[in-house]
Amino acid sequence: MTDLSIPQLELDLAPDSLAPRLQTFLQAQWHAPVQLSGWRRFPAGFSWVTMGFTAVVQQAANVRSLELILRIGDPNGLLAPYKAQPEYLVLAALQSVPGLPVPLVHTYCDDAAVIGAPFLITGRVAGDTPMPWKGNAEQREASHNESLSREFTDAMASLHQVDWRATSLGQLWGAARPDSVARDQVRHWAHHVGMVDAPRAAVPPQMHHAMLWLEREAPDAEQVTIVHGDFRVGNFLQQNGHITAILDWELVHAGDPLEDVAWAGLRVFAAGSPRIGGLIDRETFNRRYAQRAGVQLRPDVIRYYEVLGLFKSAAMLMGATQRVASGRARDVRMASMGFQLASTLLELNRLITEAVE
Amino acid sequence: MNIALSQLVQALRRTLDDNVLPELHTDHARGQLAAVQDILGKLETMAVWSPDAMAQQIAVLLQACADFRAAVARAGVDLCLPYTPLASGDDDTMLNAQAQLINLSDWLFDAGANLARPIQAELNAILLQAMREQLFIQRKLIPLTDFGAMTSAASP
Repeated sequence: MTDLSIPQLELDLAPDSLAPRLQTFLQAQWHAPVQLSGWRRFPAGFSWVTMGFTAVVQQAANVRSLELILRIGDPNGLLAPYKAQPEYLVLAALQSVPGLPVPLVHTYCDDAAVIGAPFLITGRVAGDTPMPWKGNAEQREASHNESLSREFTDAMASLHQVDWRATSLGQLWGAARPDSVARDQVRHWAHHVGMVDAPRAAVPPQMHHAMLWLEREAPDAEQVTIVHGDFRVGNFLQQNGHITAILDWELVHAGDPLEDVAWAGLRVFAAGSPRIGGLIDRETFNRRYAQRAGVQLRPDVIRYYEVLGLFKSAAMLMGATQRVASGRARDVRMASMGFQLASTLLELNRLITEAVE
Repeated sequence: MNIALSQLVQALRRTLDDNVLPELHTDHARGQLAAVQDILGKLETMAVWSPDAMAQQIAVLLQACADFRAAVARAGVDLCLPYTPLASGDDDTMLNAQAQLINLSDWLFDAGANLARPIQAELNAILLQAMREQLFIQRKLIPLTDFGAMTSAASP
């Protein structure tokens, strides 16, 4: 059959190519002349491409200089295909939630004809990113670690208390049901790596077994909330011991709040420490989160979501390998990710073994 | 290990060409990269995953399949278990052994769900143990990865 579709615009990240396209888009959005400069690509993250730039906007006699972040959903990226709209709608809905700092969101575009990929533009937030595996927790002042732990806990609790049905997210996620949100996630990640349609032998047996176990054991959610999907130490910015922004909302969805609780507490994010993300005392987190969020911490459900979290991690790693194998990967770090699959599946095996004992 | 080594080397060479070469600013650095490309190109057709590790994994998976069938027979259960014939060649044999284990998992979570709990648990333990051993064999070959070095800026 002849392919009559219009060829997609090639994504070119060179500022000489990117800046004029984005400039035209922003001028139409803001109804004002815009000059872009100071392009810088950040190495952080493995999924969306993150670039910083400065926009000078001239509105009548007013000249404003904005420090901005451009997040691009590369069609060859780790979790492609991307859509910027859900992240935009969520950030727009969360702009003034007490205790939940998020970047100021400016605009988004899912039309690949503009720069060659979906993108989102937010304000740049000051701060650095504590990483569990860099041992930063031991280098910071104890009081800073305490305040970061408290604010991390409160931010998650605040997120899970948002009445999302009263926002534009109600339309986006209206179909989410307490008895299906867990299975929806299992199927989403199985589909991400083609487990449903792929030749079965190409799937690691542990991955297939985990999918069957997750389908069978899926719990009903006591409540359906906004779930960040990657809420953990490493995905927030901090300055002087205070969280300045919760980042990386690309996996946001409606689901069981215990999914976020389990994900944040996964051992793979703790760098060998018993603390959550190598930073937060587990008991203190549990007590404060449950009290603030009004969410009952059901150990069996948290265990289920820990298994689901590792299944999701493994799906991402398999997806990375598939992109390298097919020649679609633009980022060679995906090949390194693929080497983590055995460790992740071993942890998955341990959790399922403990759950059935 | 779910990707052929030749494909992995091709991906490395593509990244060096597309993402690294355009950002090199000295002839010396470009010369060094050309040499690395040359060696990778030669390795591309020579490199294979460890045949010993592959054979160990196949042995573990096939033994588990045999143990599973024996346990079902011992329990006196007359159920038709799926069977996948063996193929030849290490890669094919590996895929075949994986397919057998996957088929047994499907059976256990479907028809096997009607078995008494102790036999269900025994069969599940056989599968989990085999998958664990397979993954241990794979992991032994893989040194730790420093993702911090891949995601940090030289100057924040």
